[in-house]
Amino acid sequence: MDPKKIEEQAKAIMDNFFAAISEVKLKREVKAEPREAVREAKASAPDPLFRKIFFTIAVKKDGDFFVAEKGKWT
Amino acid sequence: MDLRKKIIDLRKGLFTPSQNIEQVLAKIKRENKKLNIFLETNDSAIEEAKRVEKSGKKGLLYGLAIAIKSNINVRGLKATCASQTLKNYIATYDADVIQKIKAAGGIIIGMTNCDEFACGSSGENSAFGPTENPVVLGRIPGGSSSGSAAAIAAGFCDLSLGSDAGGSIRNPASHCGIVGIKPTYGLVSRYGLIDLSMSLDQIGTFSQDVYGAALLLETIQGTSPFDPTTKESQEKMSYVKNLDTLNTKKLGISEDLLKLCKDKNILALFNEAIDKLKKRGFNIKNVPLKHTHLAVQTYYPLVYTEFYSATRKFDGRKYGFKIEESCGEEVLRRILGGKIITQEEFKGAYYKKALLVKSIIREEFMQAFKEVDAILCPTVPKLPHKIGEKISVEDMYAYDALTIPANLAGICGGSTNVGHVNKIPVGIQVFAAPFNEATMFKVMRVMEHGNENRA
Repeated sequence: MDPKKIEEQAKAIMDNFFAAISEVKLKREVKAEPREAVREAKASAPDPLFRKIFFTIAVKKDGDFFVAEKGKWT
Repeated sequence: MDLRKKIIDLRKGLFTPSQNIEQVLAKIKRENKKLNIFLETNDSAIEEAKRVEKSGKKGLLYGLAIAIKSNINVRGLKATCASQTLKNYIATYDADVIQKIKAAGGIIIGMTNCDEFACGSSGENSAFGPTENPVVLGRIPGGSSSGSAAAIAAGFCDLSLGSDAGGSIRNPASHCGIVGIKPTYGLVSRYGLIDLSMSLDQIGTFSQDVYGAALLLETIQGTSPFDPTTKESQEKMSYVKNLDTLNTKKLGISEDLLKLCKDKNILALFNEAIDKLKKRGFNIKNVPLKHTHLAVQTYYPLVYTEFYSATRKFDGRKYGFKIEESCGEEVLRRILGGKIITQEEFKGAYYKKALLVKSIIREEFMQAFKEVDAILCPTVPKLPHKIGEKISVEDMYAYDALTIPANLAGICGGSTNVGHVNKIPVGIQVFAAPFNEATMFKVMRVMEHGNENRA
């Protein structure tokens, strides 16, 4: 098993996949949640923020483009 | 023995839990070496069965033999994840789902083989050798929950648990001719599951029939204080009650999904099943799911990233061996790939873009469920290959092209057998809206092989 070759192969696969999903037209990029807000969420409580991190960002169509709604989650 | 008959006989005392467990363990002892389904059997299973008998309590799973995928913690048994990394790791606690199974009178009979750390779609990536497909010897059983699916198909247990982040329950269910369920994200606690991808993983059920899969899911569902991603509501859903009363005729298919199915014979079986539904008065509508052709390309950046993060704890100090030095090729690929794309210079570009496309796919499903109550499609795009056959990494990933969309959308999906191509089982998949497993099960009951000609 050659880790270097495996790493190169993984990068090539990711590049191909990224090229494919790049066909989806976006008007603006998604902004991630601020780190401080994530740290403050308590793991033991069913905090909505924790749940929302793993769910999806609300999107809406604007002509041929998809726009991420800032701060909105589904 | 038919599962419902067994459950009735157990409850009436015509057949005891310990007799049931003795029988399955004897069968496993005779046949497991050839099939390589179980990595470990539970030496205390018969004792536990006798304890359940004496308790007088007859829960939903009273006396049933349950097999567990090796990435779920069962106290006292090895949670190896089918990897050399954790080959000696004995679980110190019961996962939430295991606690619920035990409370319901189910007996854990052992830990099943799987693709290493759930990284795979064939059952060939285990560090302890591949599992055979009991229905079609020489062919893959599918993965990553290969052993749990094969255990049902081989009659080694009554019910089993697997995990599904991209099709790892539904894919082997199709190849082995059985029923496999991936619940809605958040229905079942992941506490105690050694995760592959925490935003996509779900623990789900296998059975010979829809009834059994529904019974086990009804048992293991529920919110958990140890898993903050479980749904907030404490309400428990009933799936086995009214299983045969489907109150809708509005079903959907998607041409966008069907284009991804490469095998004409699988499509022919699927179309035949749809024709039968139409003759029974169901309205079948085409629903657009325009970005599902990007499901595989969206899924893997998320999985690579999350798996890289999940495996940092396997550094050789507390849990087993250092993973990079003890794992197989596919696991290493995902770790190294995840390491690259999470580096600062990419600023999360791959992951963020994939998250956005994930959102789009989910939105398309939510729109579709405003028009129809369930969506049907084939489970796998091609038939299972022969064990050991060389196929490319991308071709292996492509096995899950029809199952990954449900994980990305966070919805529920189940597979049940729809027929055979050259004696190889083929599954049909039913998707339903989030937390609408009841509808999914009812549609699956209609589809269940042999039910198509019911009035």
